[in-house]
Amino acid sequence: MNFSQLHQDRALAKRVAAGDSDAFEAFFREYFPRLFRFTMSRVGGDTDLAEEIVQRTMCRLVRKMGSYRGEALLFTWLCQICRNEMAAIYKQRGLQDSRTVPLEDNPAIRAALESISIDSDTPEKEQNKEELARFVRLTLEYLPAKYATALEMKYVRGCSVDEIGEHLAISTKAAESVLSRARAAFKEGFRSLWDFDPDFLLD
Amino acid sequence: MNKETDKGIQEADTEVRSDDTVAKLMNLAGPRLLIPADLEERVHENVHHEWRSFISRRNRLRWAIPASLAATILIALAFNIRTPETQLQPIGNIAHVVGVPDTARAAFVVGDTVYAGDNLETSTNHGVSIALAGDISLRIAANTSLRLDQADEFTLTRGRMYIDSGERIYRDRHMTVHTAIGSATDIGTQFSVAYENKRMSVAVREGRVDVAHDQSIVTAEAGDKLTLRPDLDTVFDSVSPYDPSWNWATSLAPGFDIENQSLMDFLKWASRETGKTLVFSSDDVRMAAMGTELFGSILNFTPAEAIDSVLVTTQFRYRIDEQSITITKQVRAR
Repeated sequence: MNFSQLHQDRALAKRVAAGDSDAFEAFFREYFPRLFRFTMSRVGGDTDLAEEIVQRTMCRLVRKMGSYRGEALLFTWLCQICRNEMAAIYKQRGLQDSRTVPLEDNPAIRAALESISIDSDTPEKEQNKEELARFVRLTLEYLPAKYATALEMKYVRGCSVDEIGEHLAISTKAAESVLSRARAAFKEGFRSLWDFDPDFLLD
Repeated sequence: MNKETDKGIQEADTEVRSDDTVAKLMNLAGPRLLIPADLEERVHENVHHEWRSFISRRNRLRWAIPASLAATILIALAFNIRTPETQLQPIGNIAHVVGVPDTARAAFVVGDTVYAGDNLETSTNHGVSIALAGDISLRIAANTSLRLDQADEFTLTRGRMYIDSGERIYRDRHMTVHTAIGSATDIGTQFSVAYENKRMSVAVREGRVDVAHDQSIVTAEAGDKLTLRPDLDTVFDSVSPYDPSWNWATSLAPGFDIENQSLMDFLKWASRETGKTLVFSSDDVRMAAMGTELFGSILNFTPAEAIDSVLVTTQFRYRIDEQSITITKQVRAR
């Protein structure tokens, strides 16, 4: 459990519940993109449906913000409300809701992870690699937006630490520190979400 | 090589390996999904509006708590006394009465006007429903004492009440029920409030309700039941829309005037009053229900009695179970 993050979440929720506009903006900009991507991965890429679910979830959350006690991360709480909204909408519309089963509750995941090796390039592993990519993207959504952005800039877009610092409006030294913490948080997040050490994927 | 050097090399190896793992996994995942800016702004605008509205309502409620306490004290001091001003303000009519009052209490007569300031009391096996402006139904259970402060504000000193304020969520007018320990304000809903022995409970059948208690606001959603007591944490429970605990409110449902109404409208009313989902066996049956016009009267029937009475004269058949009302069409014999 990340107690520092919990502390920050509690403080943010308290300010939003008190009617602080800056806090609301910070809350929305931090959590909307993460929740939207989280939802998109569970509704088969249906943008309209994801928009509706996320809007309903966030509307519900801002009304409940005063009752947030910080037992779980704010994002975890959001995801739980989101799953409930998703299930409610699917039920209302008579849709098949198998897509709403949380990935992290799926017993097949561990088996899939155990059969995957990043460096393997045999054709039969390609499908598993796509699954793994999905796990990685979901793990990123559980990280603070700053960490996910830093990791994406560094490893996907090939940006320098200077550029990351500039983008995040922090010094180069601070950017190095953010990257280091982001890597550790990513691996810890991967472990706790999927119950699997990502280092084993290299073996 | 000493132990400290070994440890340093191990840590460096671990860091390189960690970087390598993260790099490979990030490469595999590729760039994250880009979210269209117009979509983000649209959601932002709607969530922001919801948040601002909630904060405003809550701030109003915070002022209302001391007012509710004051109102409760006033009721104790001036029980059943109307001021000349409130005598002039009619707010609704008696719509339905179940049972008879004991000798100490006045009888309610269907059609009678009720006024702001009235204090209504029911006795054992006795209940009444009141039709308020805007198609809002207020229902008072047995052994209840309720003051009608205004058309949209009530003080419950004992017993249980139910409000059906319609399906529209975004309205200018919201119903507020005060008790000595908290206040409940609806946001378009069906809900009940009970108060007995310094314990307040709020159950939401549909929509949602803001509950102000002990300097905080909690939003109860459909299916929530909250129990509040002074100086104790709020207890959350759940209650389904078809739970038997709603039966008393269903029994006080004002009649539905079926004359020239479609069967579909009637069935929607019955579904809403019973909390059961309306299900049609096919789209054809649904369409046929929309095109069927009704005549006659079912006033004073309970929803279940009304369904039976109305459908028996049509080609439709029905089945009621715990959660739903299923409508089918009669198969004609050759």
